[in-house]
Amino acid sequence: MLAFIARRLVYMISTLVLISFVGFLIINLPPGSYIDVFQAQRQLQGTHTAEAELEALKRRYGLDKPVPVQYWIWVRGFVRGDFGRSFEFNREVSELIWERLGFTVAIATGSLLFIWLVAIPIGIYTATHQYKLGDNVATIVGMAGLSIPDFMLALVLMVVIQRLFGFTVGGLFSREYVDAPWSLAKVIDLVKHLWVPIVVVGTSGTAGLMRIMRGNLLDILNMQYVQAARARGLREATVVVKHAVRNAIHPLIMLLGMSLPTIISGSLIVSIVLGLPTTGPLYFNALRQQDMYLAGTFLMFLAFMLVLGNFLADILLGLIDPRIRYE
Amino acid sequence: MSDQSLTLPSAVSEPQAGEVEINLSAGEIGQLSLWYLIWRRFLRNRLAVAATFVLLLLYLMVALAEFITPYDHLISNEDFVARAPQLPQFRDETGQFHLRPFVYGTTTELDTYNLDWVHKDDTSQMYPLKLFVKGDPYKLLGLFPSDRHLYGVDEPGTVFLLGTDRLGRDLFSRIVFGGRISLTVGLIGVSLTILFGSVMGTISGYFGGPVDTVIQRFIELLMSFPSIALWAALAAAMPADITIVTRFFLISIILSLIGWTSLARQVRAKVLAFREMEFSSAATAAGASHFRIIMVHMLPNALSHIIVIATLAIPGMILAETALSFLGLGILPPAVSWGTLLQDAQTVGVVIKKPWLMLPGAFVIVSVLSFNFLGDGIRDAVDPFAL
Amino acid sequence: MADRAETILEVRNLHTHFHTESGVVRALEGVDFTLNRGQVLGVVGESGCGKSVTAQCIMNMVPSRGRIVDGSVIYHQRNGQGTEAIEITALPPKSREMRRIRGNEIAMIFQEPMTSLDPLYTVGNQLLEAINLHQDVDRTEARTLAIHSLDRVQLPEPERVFASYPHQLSGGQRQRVMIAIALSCNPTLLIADEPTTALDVTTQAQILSLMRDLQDETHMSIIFITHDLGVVAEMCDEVAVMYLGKVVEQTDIDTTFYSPRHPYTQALLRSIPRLDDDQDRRLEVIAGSVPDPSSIPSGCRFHPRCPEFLTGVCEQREPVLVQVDEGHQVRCHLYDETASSQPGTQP
Repeated sequence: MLAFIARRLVYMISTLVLISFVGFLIINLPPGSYIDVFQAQRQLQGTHTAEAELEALKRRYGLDKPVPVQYWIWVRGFVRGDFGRSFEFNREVSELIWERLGFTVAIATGSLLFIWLVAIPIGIYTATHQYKLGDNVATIVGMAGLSIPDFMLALVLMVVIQRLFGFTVGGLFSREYVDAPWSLAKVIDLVKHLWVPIVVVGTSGTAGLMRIMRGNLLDILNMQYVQAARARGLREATVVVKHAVRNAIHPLIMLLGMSLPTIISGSLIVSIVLGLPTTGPLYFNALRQQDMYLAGTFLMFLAFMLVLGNFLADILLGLIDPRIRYE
Repeated sequence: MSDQSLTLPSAVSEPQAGEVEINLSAGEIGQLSLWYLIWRRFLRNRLAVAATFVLLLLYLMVALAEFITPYDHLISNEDFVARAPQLPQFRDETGQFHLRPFVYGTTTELDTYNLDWVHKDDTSQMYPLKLFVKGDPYKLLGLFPSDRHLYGVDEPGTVFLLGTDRLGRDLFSRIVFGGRISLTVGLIGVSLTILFGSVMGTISGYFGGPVDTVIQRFIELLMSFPSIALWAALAAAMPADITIVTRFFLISIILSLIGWTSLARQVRAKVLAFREMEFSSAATAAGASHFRIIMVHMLPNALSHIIVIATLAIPGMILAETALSFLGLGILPPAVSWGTLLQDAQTVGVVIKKPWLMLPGAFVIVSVLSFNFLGDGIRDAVDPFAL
Repeated sequence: MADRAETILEVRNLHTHFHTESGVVRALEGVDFTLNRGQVLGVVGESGCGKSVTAQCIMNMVPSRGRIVDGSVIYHQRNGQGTEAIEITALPPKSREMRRIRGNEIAMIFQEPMTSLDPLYTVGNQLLEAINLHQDVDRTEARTLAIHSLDRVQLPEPERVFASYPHQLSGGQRQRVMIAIALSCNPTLLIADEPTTALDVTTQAQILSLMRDLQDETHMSIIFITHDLGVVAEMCDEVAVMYLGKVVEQTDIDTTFYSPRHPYTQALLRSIPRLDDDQDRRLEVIAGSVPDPSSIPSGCRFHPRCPEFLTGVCEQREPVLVQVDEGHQVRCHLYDETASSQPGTQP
């Protein structure tokens, strides 16, 4: 098991390095040099940039040096917690990121839980009642869930809530708590607001996972060990839950890591509609403003989170699957 | 088919001859079977067949957009800003029934509280809907000049079946023209996806070794980014001064740049399986080249899977374009797509006051749903045992 | 062997159909056989003839798309002095009564030892499952029983096997484990569905000899499903030959091998090599192949491949099972006086 973890760890680190290449590439992708864009931005904001300031920036990012050196300077900054500077906010990227990454993680985790808690039971039901009414209804509803753009679902849900219950659900906090220090009341307020994005982000994932679970379980129900368990005289419920479901869920744990990108994508875009202080609005805004150090770093962090999630999913799988544990 | 084999043996007295006949007919069934059986199974899936018709209708609609829409989708009309849909009526104020549906005219008042123009139906004006009316000239399919439009009303009446947007443009016309981009971006993206995916997947699976490792690592790398975020980053990196058409193609390329990964993986798995089978060893032994083995023996065998995956990839592309354009990073005005149209409906306030601005979303849902049903239908038809 | 010919299982006129998307597949269209207590019955036939479905019917475990449309399976359970006839096919598949019979009265072992154990649980876990279900024992007793049953199937280090996961065992070991699970509750009838097909020849021989030893020891009845006539010769007292969902001949082992009546049985026997064969004798094959169950020939199902095909009879009328001797039934027009005496039914 330790060897297994070590192997996954080495693998993860090498992926992180590759991701940082992509991040750097993205930063340098837009036409025009960083300095040009910086100046243009400053002019738009009506401030003049001092020559000395530009020089300092050039030195900081090594812009007069060859590209590999620039990359090295950028990467070295990570270790010290220096991710570059956002023009738009004129703040360090690191300050901007920490505030928002936490909420992104909270929504992603919540959505993941929601997806599993809803999709797995429905998947089991539909597989054990194949082609019955409930199965067909779930298939069609699930398909509809897959086909609605996240942001539209968010809008519709907000309108429905506003119409039915008469309160607005945008944001993560009620007005009085936005700047308040953390307290129990603030946490409760957060939870009250959090469920909407969680449900919205989770919907398409639920539809997908449900179908996969159904398919897996149908396969497993045809396996000989399920027949053998039945032939021992076990109750049908025991056969399904103990032998079939556990085996059907296994491959899903591998999917757990792979479903994270979709969830994060969903949360990014839903955040815009719902006005959530997560990575989403900041990231897309940075892209529109070509604030590339901010955007590139955000993108990289999202990818880091995913790789980490994958790594954890791998370990989880190793923990519960004897075939991997004893490898 | 069973009837045929039942009657065969009695036609010949020799039992041996009977067997030969049976084997022959079994052979024929084997020949026919794949595509014919797939087709038959597909036709039995009513949902998938219905989805196919819906899609054909949608594509026909966008192909004949100039004819179907009553107005130019780019022309704004300040007298009818954000007018609610004019629904065709059969019964007028007095309760009289009209066989030919009509729409009411419009009265405009200033809402002095919100400082907003409010349009209402003017029941004193009735404009009967007419078919094949004369209107703006256009070239159908870029070839046939005409000035007839499918429907319309006489001047000074207007017919905004789905309402107008914030510049008074006919939403129905905009949706139909927006569909041109939204519905083709998926097709082009998917063609590129198939190209990248099957080439990379085949190379990866067929050659194995370091080539395979590099390609697989690359795929994992791409898959470790949230797709929307990566798409958006690449879209944002596009130069601002390119033409609409270039932008459209670049976006298709960006979408397929990530979409190919899952196809490549599945094609690779298929090729790996085929590589182990006798027919490829036989081909190698017969001295066939790599290229020939891949093109003649492997790709055709993986074709049905490629089609399924491709069909199921289109909805993702349509949704992605919608999302990117909604964010202002995809198709940019003045070009219209369903995503850019939905930009007008970004807040709850707008949705409550002007719910018809969400209608482009209904078109997104219908087309995505149809592609999903179609893809599911094809998958079930190709491989009834898959999930 | 059995003290007297006492019936333990009767399968009568069993018809099982599967409803698939491409129509109804008539998997079983008349399966009849009887099994006496303490005997080993071989059920033989080519792949796709319905052997495994027959086993599923006896266990009342037909897959959800299948349905027993006609016929019955009657199990004679011993209680005290007498026996009680239980009509298995009349019991709901998920009922308590049916579950009590499964594993406890009738146990089953499967074709693929590699996939018949759940990979996520230890051997011990799956063994205890059966024991705890059917026997009233506490934890330590159950464990002792479990270890004992592993020992009984001649697995070395039963303690270690008990704690092992299936992937740590070889195919032969897994099949022994399956046998141990099946026998852990001392069933009176064991259904073995091609238990050695997936194993290599040496392991196959070991498993067969183990099963024979266990049969000698416990006097349980066994239904041995196989397509291998060599295995039949080695294991069985009685043989039922199946072709396309029907039992075409049932008789004792000697008659099967030395004076079979049905042309299909005869053809099957001609298709196996013999040690005393003339070197020049070419092995015969049965012409043609088993038709697809969805396109079954009219009349006698074997007639298109039959060397003794009677024109005007075989392709028109279905033969019925006739008794040709004491304990010897054949489903063939050749032995049915009523049929062969009037071959001129056709114009």
